[in-house]
Amino acid sequence: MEDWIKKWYKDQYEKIDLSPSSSVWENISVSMEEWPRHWFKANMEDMNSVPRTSTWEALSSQLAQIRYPAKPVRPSYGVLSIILVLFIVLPFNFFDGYIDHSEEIKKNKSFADISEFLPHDGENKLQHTLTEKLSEKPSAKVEENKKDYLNKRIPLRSSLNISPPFLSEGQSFKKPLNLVVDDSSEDDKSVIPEQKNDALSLSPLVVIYPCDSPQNLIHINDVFHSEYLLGISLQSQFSTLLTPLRTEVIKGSNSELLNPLSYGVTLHGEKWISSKHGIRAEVNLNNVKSFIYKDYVNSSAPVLKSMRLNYTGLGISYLRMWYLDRGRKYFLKSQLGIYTSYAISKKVDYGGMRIPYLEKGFRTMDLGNAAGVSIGRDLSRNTRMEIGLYSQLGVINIFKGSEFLPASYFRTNSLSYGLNLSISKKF
Amino acid sequence: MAGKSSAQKELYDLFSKDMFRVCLIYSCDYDTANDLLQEGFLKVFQNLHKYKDSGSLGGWIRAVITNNCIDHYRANKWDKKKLTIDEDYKMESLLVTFDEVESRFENADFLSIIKDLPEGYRMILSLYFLEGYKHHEIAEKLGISEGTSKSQLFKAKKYLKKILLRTLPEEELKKYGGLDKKVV
Repeated sequence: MEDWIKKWYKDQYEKIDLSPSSSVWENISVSMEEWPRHWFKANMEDMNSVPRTSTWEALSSQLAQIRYPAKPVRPSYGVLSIILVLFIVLPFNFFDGYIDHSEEIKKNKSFADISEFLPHDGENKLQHTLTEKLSEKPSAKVEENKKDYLNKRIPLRSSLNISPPFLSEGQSFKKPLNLVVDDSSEDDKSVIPEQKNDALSLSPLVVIYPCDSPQNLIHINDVFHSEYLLGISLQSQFSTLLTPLRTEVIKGSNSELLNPLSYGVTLHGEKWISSKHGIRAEVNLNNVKSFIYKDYVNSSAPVLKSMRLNYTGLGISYLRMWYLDRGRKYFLKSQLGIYTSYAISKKVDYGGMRIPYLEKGFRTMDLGNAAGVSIGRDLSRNTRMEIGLYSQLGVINIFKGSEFLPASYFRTNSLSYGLNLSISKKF
Repeated sequence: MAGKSSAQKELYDLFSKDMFRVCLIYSCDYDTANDLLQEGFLKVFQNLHKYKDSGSLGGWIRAVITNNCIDHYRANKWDKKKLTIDEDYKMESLLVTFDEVESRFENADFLSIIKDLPEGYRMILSLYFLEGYKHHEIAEKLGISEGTSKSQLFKAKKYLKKILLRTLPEEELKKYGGLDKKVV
């Protein structure tokens, strides 16, 4: 009895030629829009299993193309950053205000004549003041300073007959003679020889070099001419990561976003081409970009879900400086540049458990732009301290996806902003 | 997403018709079968990473779909199912293709025959004949004892035999050898 009934049953079953309603697939595709979150939640209980991925690997890339269809070529923020930097830098003459050694002037004119060699910067009041002052008859105070200076500090043993205006006829000197702005003067326009015992000595505005010829060389020193700095910065920063992985997978329905505070260190070197323009190269250590979700799955015990990328990076920036006082002790400095980073660690944590297969989707490189503004002061001729605000925006993140999630989920923009304190040594 | 080439869509297109047959045989209702197919494929896609290469993908998908049907049977959802007659449902009903209508009539006999079977009989016959489950597996899946499974299968076959001998044409019975043991 069994055989023919079974055969009939199976045959009739095979003959069924009905197709499902077209709405079935439409409903499935709509429901699957949030599949990563479903998958993630469903598999949190199954964390220790190692599922086979061969099937999904074949599907995920095509799935990614659908969920994240190729978008129109969006502007590369990295390229835009470079262009932006160039647009800011190029309009300036890098050598504005700078007279290098090749242009040192043999002083065979009167001292007042050097005004024609001063930088043509109408906004630079300090230089303008100097020009004015050099054209005037020295005040009694300047005369007194000169006398004091010459009596105490300069051995006048040269037979040279050409001398700066405050040297007596027949007097000369061997060392370079520096003139600085006299801070003690009421009108703040006096120029005096540099006092070596000045604790916060200023960079000289004018240097008069002795030489063996019957002429002295005058160098209009634009304060930071050819100056190098090396320094270290300590940073405290807030950061976040803008990625579909965060919004589509990790974020829960009742989650509170926290932007964690982290600390980093930056080693930097600066090359000042002139008093206003410079270039900075830096190495960023422990540059952490992260976010934390406090997920209120149940109100009594929120679950912390976090993602943390720890970068070490290199950056290069254009620097622009504005002096805040005539003595050039205080300044405002801005920087704009690009950076590239290498992620030395990647960590996705769910309630204390690492999720390695979400960490694998990131590659290690990141590229972005950086900007900052700081105020500072020269503590001495050789030391500088700054405090400032800075921000980094990571715009080109290289990602590969994982066997479980398409690469699109790892497309990430990082944003960090914070406070830094730096101290630099001038060379 | 419909109409675009995708892994999911390809997978669905490849297996949906076979799986719809599974859903139909367990539900004997076109609309319920569509619902079961939809639920079943959602489970397939959400659990695809659990598929091991030890068996065929089609077999694994069929197991997921079948288990989904069994779950619904056990929850007795088919009887409790209430359709909301809203505009979408009306439209969906009107949009059934001509081919679908034709196909319904072609298989009306088989589906109407097994639809008349008690639900428990239909489940056991399908699990035993089509899925090839043993009695202890059927018992486990349906939450019954192995003895109950055996007795239910015996009764189900006897019940079906009576229907077939009464309803099938003589040629059809000859073809399957049903007349050999027919008691006249």
